[in-house]
Amino acid sequence: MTISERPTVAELTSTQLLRAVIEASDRFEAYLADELDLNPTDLDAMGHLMRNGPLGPTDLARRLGISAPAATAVVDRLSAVGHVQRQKHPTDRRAVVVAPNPASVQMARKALDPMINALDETLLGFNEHDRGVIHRYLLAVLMEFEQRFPAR
Amino acid sequence: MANNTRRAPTVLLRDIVELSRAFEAHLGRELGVNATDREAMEHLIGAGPLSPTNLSQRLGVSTAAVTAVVDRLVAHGHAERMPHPTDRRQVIVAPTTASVDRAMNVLLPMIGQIDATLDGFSASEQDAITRFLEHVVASYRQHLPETAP
Repeated sequence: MTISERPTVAELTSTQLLRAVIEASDRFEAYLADELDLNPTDLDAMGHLMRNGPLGPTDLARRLGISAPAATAVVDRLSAVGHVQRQKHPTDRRAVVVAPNPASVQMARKALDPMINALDETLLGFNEHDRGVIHRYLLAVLMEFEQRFPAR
Repeated sequence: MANNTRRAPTVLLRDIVELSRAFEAHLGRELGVNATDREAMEHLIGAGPLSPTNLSQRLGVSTAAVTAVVDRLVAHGHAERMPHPTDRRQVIVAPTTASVDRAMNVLLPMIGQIDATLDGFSASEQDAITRFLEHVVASYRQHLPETAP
């Protein structure tokens, strides 16, 4: 093995590109976490709460792939800075759900939307057939991952 | 973000990124290392021996932080410090064969199956997929600050 430099995008195969996508996305999240003054796990938790709405602590722990006590610490930190609130479950009064604060959701959206829009726009340069191809490819990749990590 | 106007590929990409993180966490547990150390190992496995400076750039951490990463990897037997092959004053970090093998046992089946998903597409379709992914990487890079590698 030799000391190699990072290859340019044009030299990469699709699978290597996918890896570059994942790395770039990790870097973007780290940047976003820094901008929003959150650690990466807490940002990840906010993402799940924003996409799904209020979640039970157990569900949140499972989605983050962390232990229940670790998820409690995440919720404590997010709650302390006003990003989430613990609320009573709407139908089971003994249970608690974690709800994102609307102001925090708005702030995160403002930071995220330009990136999401840019990703959506990458599709504009492709015709309908190619969009179908891209969709099928991504779906196939996702299914490979899901086979190893069944839907949580 | 719940938003019905989002085009499916963008949502799929996000799901892929999330699941790949679960996969990476699995790899980290397999090697018994934390997330940063696991990422360092991935770079060493993918690129071969690297200088500490190059590794710190790839990880986006300081050279002081990368010294701690390398110390831990060396202590676990995952990496070794060696003299640079041409410049004896410099040090490079190389992954150990045993750890590369352990990681490859986890990674190769996954990479092979992801490669295999391309078999169902024609050459021109594969080209469209490649162009799409290139655009995605370029988009991310545009939205990152200049200092990010």
